[in-house]
Amino acid sequence: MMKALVFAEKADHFNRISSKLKEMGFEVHGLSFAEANADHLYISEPNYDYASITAAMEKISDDVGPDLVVFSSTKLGKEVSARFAQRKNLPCITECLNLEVEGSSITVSRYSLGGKTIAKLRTSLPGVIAVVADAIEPSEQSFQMNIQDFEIPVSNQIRTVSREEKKREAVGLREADVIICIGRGLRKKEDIELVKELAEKLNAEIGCTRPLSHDYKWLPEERMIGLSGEKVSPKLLISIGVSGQIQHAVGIMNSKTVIAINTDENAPMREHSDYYVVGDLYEIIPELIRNL
Amino acid sequence: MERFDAVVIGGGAAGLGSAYRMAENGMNVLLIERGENVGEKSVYGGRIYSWVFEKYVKGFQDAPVERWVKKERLTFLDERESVSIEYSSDETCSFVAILTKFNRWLAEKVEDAGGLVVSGIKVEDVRLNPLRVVADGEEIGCDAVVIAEGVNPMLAMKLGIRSDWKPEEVAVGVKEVFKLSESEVNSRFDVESDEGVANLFVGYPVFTHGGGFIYTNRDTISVGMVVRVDSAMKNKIEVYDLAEKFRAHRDVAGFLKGGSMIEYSAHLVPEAGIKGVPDALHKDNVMIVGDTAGFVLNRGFTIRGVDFAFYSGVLAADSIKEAMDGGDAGLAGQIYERKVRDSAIIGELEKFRKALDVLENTRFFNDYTRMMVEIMRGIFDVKEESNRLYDVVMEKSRGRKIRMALDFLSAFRGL
Amino acid sequence: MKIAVCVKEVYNLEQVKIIKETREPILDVPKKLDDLSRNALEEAIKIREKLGGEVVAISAGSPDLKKTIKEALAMGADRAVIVTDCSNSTPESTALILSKILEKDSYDLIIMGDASSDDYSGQMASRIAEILGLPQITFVSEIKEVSEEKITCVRDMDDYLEVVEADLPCVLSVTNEINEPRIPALKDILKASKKPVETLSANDLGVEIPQPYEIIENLAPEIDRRQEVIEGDAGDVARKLAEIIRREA
Ligand SMILES: Cc1cc2nc3c(=O)[nH]c(=O)nc-3n(C[C@H](O)[C@H](O)[C@H](O)COP(=O)(O)OP(=O)(O)OC[C@H]3O[C@@H](n4cnc5c(N)ncnc54)[C@H](O)[C@@H]3O)c2cc1C
Ligand SMILES: Cc1cc2nc3c(=O)[nH]c(=O)nc-3n(C[C@H](O)[C@H](O)[C@H](O)COP(=O)(O)OP(=O)(O)OC[C@H]3O[C@@H](n4cnc5c(N)ncnc54)[C@H](O)[C@@H]3O)c2cc1C
Repeated sequence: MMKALVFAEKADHFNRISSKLKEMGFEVHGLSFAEANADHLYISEPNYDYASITAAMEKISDDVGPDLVVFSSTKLGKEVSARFAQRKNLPCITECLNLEVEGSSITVSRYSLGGKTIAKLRTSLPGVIAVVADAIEPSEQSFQMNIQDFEIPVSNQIRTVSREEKKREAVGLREADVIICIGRGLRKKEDIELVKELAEKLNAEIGCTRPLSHDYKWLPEERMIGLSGEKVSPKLLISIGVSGQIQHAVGIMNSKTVIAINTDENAPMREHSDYYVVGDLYEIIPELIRNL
Repeated sequence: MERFDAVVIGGGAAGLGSAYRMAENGMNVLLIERGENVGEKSVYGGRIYSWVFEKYVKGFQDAPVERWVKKERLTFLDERESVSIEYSSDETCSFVAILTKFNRWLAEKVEDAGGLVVSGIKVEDVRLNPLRVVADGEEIGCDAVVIAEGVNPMLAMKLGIRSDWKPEEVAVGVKEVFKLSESEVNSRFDVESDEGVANLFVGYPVFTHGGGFIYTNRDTISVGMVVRVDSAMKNKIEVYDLAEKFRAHRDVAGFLKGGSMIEYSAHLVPEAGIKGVPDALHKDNVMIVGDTAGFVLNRGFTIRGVDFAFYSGVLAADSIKEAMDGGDAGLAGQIYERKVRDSAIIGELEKFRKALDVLENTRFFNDYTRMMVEIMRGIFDVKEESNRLYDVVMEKSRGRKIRMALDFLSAFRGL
Repeated sequence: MKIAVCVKEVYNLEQVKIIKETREPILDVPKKLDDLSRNALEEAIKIREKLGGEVVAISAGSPDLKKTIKEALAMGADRAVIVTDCSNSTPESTALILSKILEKDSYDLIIMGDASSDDYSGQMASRIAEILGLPQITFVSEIKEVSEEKITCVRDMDDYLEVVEADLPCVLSVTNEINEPRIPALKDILKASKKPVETLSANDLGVEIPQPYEIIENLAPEIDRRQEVIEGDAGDVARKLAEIIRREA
């Protein structure tokens, strides 16, 4: 039986990945910071240092001899997957959305060309991949659940001075039926009030493009939609003042209906819209609120 | 202040020709193009006459040629029918190329030859005494300036070298590129992989000054429409609508079927022939070349712009070199004036001065096109009875024989 | 301070078109310097402005690099080393090649983007650091302090912000938000044309390019939106929109 070795710092990610691997017929070994589903699991104290985790994975890997080593494609997971792969002189593919095994090779899908296309890549085993855990539907699987404690070797390559959890507000973008997504067409932070008014009328969640969350910090990061943010699938998405660059558009492709409002009649957003309103959001939104 | 021997403004065929020739001659030349990438602002139909590149560009055999034109087709269209004349030969004097790619390639040649090409920067002004070019808030000194800014002569006008175009002197063209496969192109146009087709269309849907075109690229085809601006204004036609109608005509649609449009562009093209060339082509040591100088020849079934553009650039470069070698760089403008007047550019434009008058006559685009189609229908339409050629021609030309004879005679002489 | 910046050329993605019928991308478009490479360069230049030294742009790619690398020189890199015969590169091969170049000199800092905007693979900093046996600080959103010996950075991770420090030499990867890259002026571009560019081949470096995977397909997802355009007076538009929203929500 082929063996897989998994690392994910979040138990939820770990379980999604391990259920998929089990379904594909792997014996699942793993390292995690909390109890999770695996045939053989090492549990350690949480540790977010790449050098330490790489050393730990190297050690476990040398013991287990896995055919496939899988990380969760978080920032930490990507960083460690590449360092681990280089140490083991193995190929590595990050940001995998899907995986299939055929004999001694594995086929994965990932975005390419900034999200314009989806590439299918095949590589022979042994190999390393980092998987976008949220893209995997977890399934019910039964595991041997041999669990043992593990002490991650300490490394001093870099020193952590401080760590601060990001404040997260619970955002229901993924479950929302209606989403209003705003972009740089909005001139100032205060104008979000106008959008909020509309959102209340429609019982909608508010999402945004990357400049609004990451550059201007008008909205928290968890409201960002796109390649590096949330992928949403509402019944209706209303996109306001968003140009529709591919890295953003990737996040809205599963919406059932898309309405966009943009002053530019030829913004890339047009291709991603069912209804494309050419006009100024500052004129249209107040009228729209009146009409609803 | 940075200094160059010469600064070239605009990275189309004209500017690139000039910069290439100067770089080849060992001169210190700077070309400034406002588009993000050289070539991306240039628009044309699809065919380039090769003589000038064969003569002047080293390594021309590596140019990004799509196909060499082996078939010339002229098609008269009315709403539903068409008559085509085809000339086919193994000899060829022109090739189909994608102008953005071709110009990008020329830019590489310029750089390989030691010229400096800068893109993404617009030249704001050219100042005289001493000669300077202003861009991005910087002044750059030089001995000569070549203005190759294309059909919108902003700088040339500012310097008073030329005036703006009148509506009857320019046409607006739209072009679309459709993606097929190489084998589809081959089979639809009945050509081999290295053979190309240039097909020009008269009549539908313009029926006035202008027409349509199709050129075969390797695995795409360029399709478009050109209409003179005054005619478009007079008849209130939207070129976009025309292009759409043209594309939908049964004799055009067949070529495009199943292809997806991957590019769309619109641009002006000088149409006044020799009448669009200003009296003086320079002021001090500032010279105008290419479209800016009006060097485009349209004979209805051929259009020459790119070869003249490149050639005029070469002539400007040679003039600057000659003046510098002669010890008085300041004479370049005058030398250029003489060189162009003596060149094939002015020669050809003069030769076809009459062509303009012929093409001025809208009957060619409308009445005679329709007549041609009707005559063909008359002959080929066999039901219970058929028609004699003589009867058909006589009937279709009733009451306009003399005018027609004169029109055709002038066409014969002019084109 | 000697700083190497690993930069990447990418297709100008805005110009990449998709063939409707086959969903294939048309890659016959100009290349440019990647946005995240610009962030990395900007950060390196800022450090040089503060501490003095040299910024060297390093890249592996296609023959087009000869042109794209000029963007890095125009932004302010002092010189460049490029490898132009690896068009079909993978993170594996690029890391090997770049490391070979980096080994030739002793750099205090090696900076790059946290990913490239085309592949978004994000492996380069880790792989290079591993090959060179250096520490790495990835996803840097702010450099708090840097001296000849030590660097202190803020890392922007998924769920937390972290302040870390490392001794030099060290490999950094920076995020898109770390700075606003400068746009070179004409005089910078003219200056750049005189800066030295060393062009190498993978062969010169003794690197055999591994081909660890096979691309089975690379197609655009089906986008099948109605693309109905609504224009006109704000009042009319709003009424139409309200109707659509009531129907679809
Ligand atoms: C590696 C990488 C990953 C990325 N990941 C993401 C991601 O996950 N999510 C994301 O969003 N971005 C992402 N980006 C950034 C992305 O490329 C775009 O830069 C971003 O999405 C643009 O945001 P925008 O549409 O708000 O801004 P802009 O592109 O500036 O567009 C603003 C739009 O508003 C319109 N407008 C202006 N005024 C008005 C008005 N009064 N009324 C109506 N319309 C108006 C304009 O016409 C324009 O189309 C990523 C980039 C990179 C390089
Ligand atoms: C629809 C159509 C079909 C045609 N078909 C053909 C054909 O089949 N064959 C043929 O030979 N010719 C054809 N022509 C004509 C041909 O395209 C032109 O004659 C030729 O491209 C002119 O080259 P140019 O260098 O003068 O101008 P352009 O190619 O227009 O170059 C001018 C350049 O200058 C730049 N520029 C302008 N102002 C500034 C500034 N201030 N600073 C910096 N840069 C500046 C522009 O961005 C542009 O890149 C056609 C034209 C059209 C419109």
